Amino acid sequence: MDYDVIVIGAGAGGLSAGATLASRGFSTLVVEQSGTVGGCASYFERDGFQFDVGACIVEMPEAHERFYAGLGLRREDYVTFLRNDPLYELIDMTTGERILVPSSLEETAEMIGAYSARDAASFRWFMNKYGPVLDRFADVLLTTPQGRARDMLKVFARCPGIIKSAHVWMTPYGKLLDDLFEHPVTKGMLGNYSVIGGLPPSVQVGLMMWLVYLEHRGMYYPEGGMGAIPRGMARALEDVGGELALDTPVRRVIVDRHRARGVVLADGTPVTARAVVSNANALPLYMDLVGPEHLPGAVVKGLKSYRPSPSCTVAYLGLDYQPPMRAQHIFAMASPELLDSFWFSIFENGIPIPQSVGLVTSPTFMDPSMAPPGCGSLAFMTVAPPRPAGGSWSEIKWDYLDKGIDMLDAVFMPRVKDHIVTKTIATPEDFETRLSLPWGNIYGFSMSMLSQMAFRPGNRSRCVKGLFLCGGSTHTCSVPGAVNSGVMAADLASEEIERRRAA
Amino acid sequence: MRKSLAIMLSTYLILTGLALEVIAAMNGPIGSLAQRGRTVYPVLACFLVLLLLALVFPALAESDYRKVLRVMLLLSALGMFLIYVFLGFMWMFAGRFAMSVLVAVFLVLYGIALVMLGVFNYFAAQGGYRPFIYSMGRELPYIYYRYRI
Repeated sequence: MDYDVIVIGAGAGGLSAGATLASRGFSTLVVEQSGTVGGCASYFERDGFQFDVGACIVEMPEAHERFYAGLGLRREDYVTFLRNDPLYELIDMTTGERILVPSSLEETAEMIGAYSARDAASFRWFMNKYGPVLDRFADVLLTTPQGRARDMLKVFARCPGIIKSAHVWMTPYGKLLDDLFEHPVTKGMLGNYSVIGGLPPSVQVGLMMWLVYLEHRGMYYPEGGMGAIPRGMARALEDVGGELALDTPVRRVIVDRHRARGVVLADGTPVTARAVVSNANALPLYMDLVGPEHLPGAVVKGLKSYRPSPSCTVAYLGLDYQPPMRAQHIFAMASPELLDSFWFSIFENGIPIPQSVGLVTSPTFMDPSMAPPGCGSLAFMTVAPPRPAGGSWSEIKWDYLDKGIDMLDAVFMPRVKDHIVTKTIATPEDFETRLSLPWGNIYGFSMSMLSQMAFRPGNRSRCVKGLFLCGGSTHTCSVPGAVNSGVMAADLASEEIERRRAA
Repeated sequence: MRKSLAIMLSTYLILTGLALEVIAAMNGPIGSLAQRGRTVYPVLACFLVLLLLALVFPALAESDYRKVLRVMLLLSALGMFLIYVFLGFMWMFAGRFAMSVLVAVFLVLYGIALVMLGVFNYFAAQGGYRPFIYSMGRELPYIYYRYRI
C-alpha cells in the first residue's frame, strides 16, 4: 500500500479528516483538484483584494477547538476568530428601515420589544425554554456519525429533550412564526433564518429556530478571511505529518470486490490505500469517481432522488473605500410570504431575480488587511436558480451582476457604484464546475427533513467498503459541520484500518 | 377550508376508522357466520357516506387542496366499495373461520387507513402545514433508497 488513507478534497471536512488520521500515526495523503484549499470556504485574490468564495459566517467555534485539541494542538496558533457584534444589520425591503440585531438574546429581545412587547415575551419564553435543548442537540448531532437508523436513534437517545418538544420542531417554520409572533418586523427578522437554513418558511421545519439560538451564542469571522480556516487546517495537517497535494484531481476511485483500494489520479497514476475518505459531494463521488457499475440499483436511485439545496450567485466588489456599514453583514428583510414567493419563482420556475440580494457582507469591515490600504471589499449573495429558464448563466451573468449592483446602490449602499475598482461574479454554474457541487448547490443536498441524518449519505459508505464520506453532503451546518464530519469520518476510517492491519 | 370543517371531517374519518376496528374485533373472532357476513352493511354505509363527503367537502376546500381531498375521499370510498363487494361475495362461499380472517384483516387495515386519513386531513386542511406536507410527500417514496446509501 502507498498510504494508509487517501483523502479526496481539501475542504474543511477533508482537511480535518486528513489531519486527524495523520495525528493518529496513519500515513495520509490529501489530494485537492484546485490550487487552493478550502472548497466552499476557500478564497481568491483579484487586483490586490482577497475575497471569500462562499461561506462567510462561522458559528460554533467549538468545532474548531475540538478539532485542534484532537490533534494535540492549540487552535489559537492556527486561526483567530473575531466575534461579530452586532450580528448584522437588517434592511426592511418594504419600508427601508434599518435595524441592528445585537449579539445577545436579551438585547435582541429588547430590540423586538421596541416593536411588540408580546413578541419580546414570546422570544424570551421560547429561547429560555428550548435554548438548552437546542444547545444539547447541536452538540450531539455534530458529534455523532450518521448513516444508519441506530445512529439516528443514538442522537435522540442522547438528546431526549428534542423528542419531548418534537411538536415544536415539526411545525412548519412559517406557521411557528405566525403562532409565536405578531409583528411583521419580528417575523421578517426571524424568517430570514429559514432561508439561511436552505428552505423557504412554509417548507422549513421549526427546528431552524436552532440557527437563531446558535448565532446569538456567537457568530465569528476569522482574521485573514474565511481562507484562514482551511489554511490553518492545512498547516496543522502538515505539522502532524500528513501530506497535501494541490492541483491533483482524481479520475476515479479504485474499487475491487466492493472495496475501495485507492484512487487513480487524473494523470493516470494509481495510488493505493487501505481506506479512502472523500470530501467530495456524494453524487459526483458515487456516480463519477466510483461509477454506477459498482453500486446497487437502489443506491443509484437514492442518489438521483436528492433534490438540490439552494444555489446562489456571489458578486465580489473591490472598492476604493471602506463602505459605511454598522455590521459586517447586512440582510434584506422581507415577510415570510414574500420569501416563499421569491423562493418558488426562483427554484420552481427557474427565474433569475438579480434584485433578490439577500446578504451583503464586507470582509474588510472585520479585517482591513484583506484589501489594499484605504480600500474595502464587498460581496453580495442572491439566491439563484441552478439553470436559469431560457438561457445559461454564462450568457446572462454580467447583466445579472450589473442589475444586482444597481439594487445594492439603490437600497443597501447609496453611491457605491462610483467606488468600484474591480468586480466579478460566481454563478451556480461556476460553483458546479470549480467546486464539483451538483447544481451549484451550497449545502450538499436539500435541507429537507427527509434528506437528513439516516437519509443523507452516511459517513461510512454502505455499498463500498473502506470508503468514508465527510463534508456538506453528509453533514450540514456549514463550516463547523464539515469540520466535525471530517473528524467522524476519520474515527470510522481509523477503526477500519486497524481492523485491516490486524487481519 | 375553515378549521371547524376540517376538524369535523377529520373527526368523522377517525371515528369511522375506529368503528371499523370495533366491528372487526366484535365480528371477527367471535360472531357467527351470519354476524360476520352482516359486517358488509356498515361497510356499505361507510362507502355511501364517504362518497357523499367526496362530493361536498372538496368544494369547501382551498384550490390547492381541493383536488387532493377529492381524490383522497373518492379513493377511500372506492376501497370501501371494493371491500363491500368482496366480503359480500365471500359471505356466500367462505366458511366461518375464513370469513373471520377476512373481516378482521380488511376492516382492521382499512380502519387504520381511515384514522391516518383523518389525521392527514386535519393538518393538510390548514394552509400553514400544506406546502410542508406536500414537500415531504414528494420525497417520502425515496427514503428507502436514500437509506441504502
